[in-house]
Amino acid sequence: MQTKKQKFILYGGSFFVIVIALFPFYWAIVSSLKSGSDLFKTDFIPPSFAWQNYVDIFKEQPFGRNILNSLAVAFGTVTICLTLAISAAYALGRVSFKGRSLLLLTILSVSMFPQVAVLSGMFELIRTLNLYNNLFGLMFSYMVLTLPFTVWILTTFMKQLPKEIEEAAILDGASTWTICFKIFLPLLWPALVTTGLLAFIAAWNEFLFALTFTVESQARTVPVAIALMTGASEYELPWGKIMAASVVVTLPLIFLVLVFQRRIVSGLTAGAVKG
Amino acid sequence: MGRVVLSNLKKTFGKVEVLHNINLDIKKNEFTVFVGPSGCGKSTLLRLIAGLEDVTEGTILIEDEDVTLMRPAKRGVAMVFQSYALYPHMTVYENMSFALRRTKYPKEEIHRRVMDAAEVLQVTHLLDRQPKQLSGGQRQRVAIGRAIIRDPRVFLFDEPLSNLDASLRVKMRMRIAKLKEKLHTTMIYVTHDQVEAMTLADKIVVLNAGNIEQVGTPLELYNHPCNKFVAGFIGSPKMNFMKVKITGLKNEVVTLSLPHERVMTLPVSLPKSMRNMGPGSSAELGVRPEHLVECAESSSLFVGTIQTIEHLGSELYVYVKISEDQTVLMRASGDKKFEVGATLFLKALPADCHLFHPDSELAFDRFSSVSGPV
Repeated sequence: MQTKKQKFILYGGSFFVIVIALFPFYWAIVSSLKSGSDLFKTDFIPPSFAWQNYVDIFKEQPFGRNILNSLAVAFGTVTICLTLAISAAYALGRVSFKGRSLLLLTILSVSMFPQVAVLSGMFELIRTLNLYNNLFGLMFSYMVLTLPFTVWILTTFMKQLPKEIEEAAILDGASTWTICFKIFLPLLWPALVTTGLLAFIAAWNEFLFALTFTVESQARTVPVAIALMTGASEYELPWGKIMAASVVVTLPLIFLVLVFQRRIVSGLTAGAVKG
Repeated sequence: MGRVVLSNLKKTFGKVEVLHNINLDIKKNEFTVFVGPSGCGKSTLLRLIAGLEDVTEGTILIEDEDVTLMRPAKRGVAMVFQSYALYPHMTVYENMSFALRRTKYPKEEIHRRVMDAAEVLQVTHLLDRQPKQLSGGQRQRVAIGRAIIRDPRVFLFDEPLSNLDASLRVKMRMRIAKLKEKLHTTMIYVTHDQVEAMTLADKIVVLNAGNIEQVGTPLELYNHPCNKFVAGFIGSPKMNFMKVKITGLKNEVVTLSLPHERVMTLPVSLPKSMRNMGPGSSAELGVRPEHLVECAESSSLFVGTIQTIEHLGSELYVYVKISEDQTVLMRASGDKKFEVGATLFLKALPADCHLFHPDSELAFDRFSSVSGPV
């Protein structure tokens, strides 16, 4: 039995953590619904619900286009990245060859490079490939960012899959391709959803590459677009609009997490072996 | 269907040789059981035949076709795994038809085969379910069904019953025995359980430390084990072994001196390698617990005090200390009365006694065999 004190600590602690985590977002929503001098008051509920900020961000710049760009880049990155990562993880996790662990360590260390360190080199590469100011340039550079950790995570999951299933498939005449994408892929769903979501968030939030590799506002992604928002004069930061834009771009992420939460279920491999 | 011939088969993992020069001829439609303690290489041998491991040296023939370097799927073998290894995201129907869907079989034919196999294994009502909704026994039946459906030249079973609980294991054993009658296919079955081996096999191959110790029918192995290892491995409870002295060897009759100044004569024929055995050499006498019987003092071969009695209901295991450092186990029917501490006189028929060379542990051939020599 929990004592009252324990209960108090448990619920009090949880409440504290939730407040710390959610308050900034709450404040963003509240600020986005304020206009003018209301912004600088500390009301927890906006005095008048001013939706104007939400309308303005789509009017004053191609923000809709920016959102579409971000979606395209993020989904493109996730698709390419997962396809490559599954194949790589199969090789690294299921096939034994010389230098396998060295390769894995290299991949891990690459994922720890600071972004700034690769920025100039990446810029040259993007220019040479003629992908400057182009969404494919962003997908390509994000793939470089996300591949190491997706490969690493998927390899770990791939290693855990029972060997007998693979052997049964080999005896059943399945090719490596079939084993990888028809047998293992469905078993890896939880891992794919998790890593896919991480890659999506990484691509959605990325700022530095997006800022460096694009020049026109039409080609920008959301983080850059928000950062470069200006008010009536150069010296005014349009807080209300920035907050409105932040709220708008956070929604897809929350939506995705809620949708895929159901897919992240354990025990998907139940019934394969023993059990 | 297929005859399987293994010749001079060797397998090494790194620097460790786990199979040394295996030669074996498995006849068409024979049910062969590989049996041995864990780590003896029996599973490795099966995996070599399946093609899941590469052969280091030697050849494997299936129906006179050299399959040593052939891909597993092309060999015409199907395997049932200890852990079932069903595809968890597919229904039973999809699991069973998976292999055929890789080939160019017409859909109706695949369907017919799945239904046939499902009926044989009584899983027709489970076809739409996923493996996680099945019990252990049902999963194993589906795994067998997945193998049957391919109509393989050789069936391979890798300890298929080890994951099942005891009562289910007996049921499945019977099912497999029935299946064997129905399918008429070469089957190779790996187990560490000698009861499974005895009950299912046409031919048992006893493996130990990467070598074949003996090949024979279950009764041949039980009655004429060729060495001490096989004698100890086949039969439950284990055969009793006693150190004895050879006191006389004449006209192919050996005289043994037993503890408590008792003497026993056994008709044997010495293989060439044992011709140097003479009076004074030691040997090991083997008698199965079920062959020791209580008798009068005058005709007894062994005498000792009862140490422990184990009641199994239908039978009794009586541990009798026959000398300072040797205890033998006697199996008696459950209605007999024994008392711990009492003196017991025991004997065994010469035909039920086995004599082993002390160093090579090879068995002396006996004339008075119940069935013909190996």
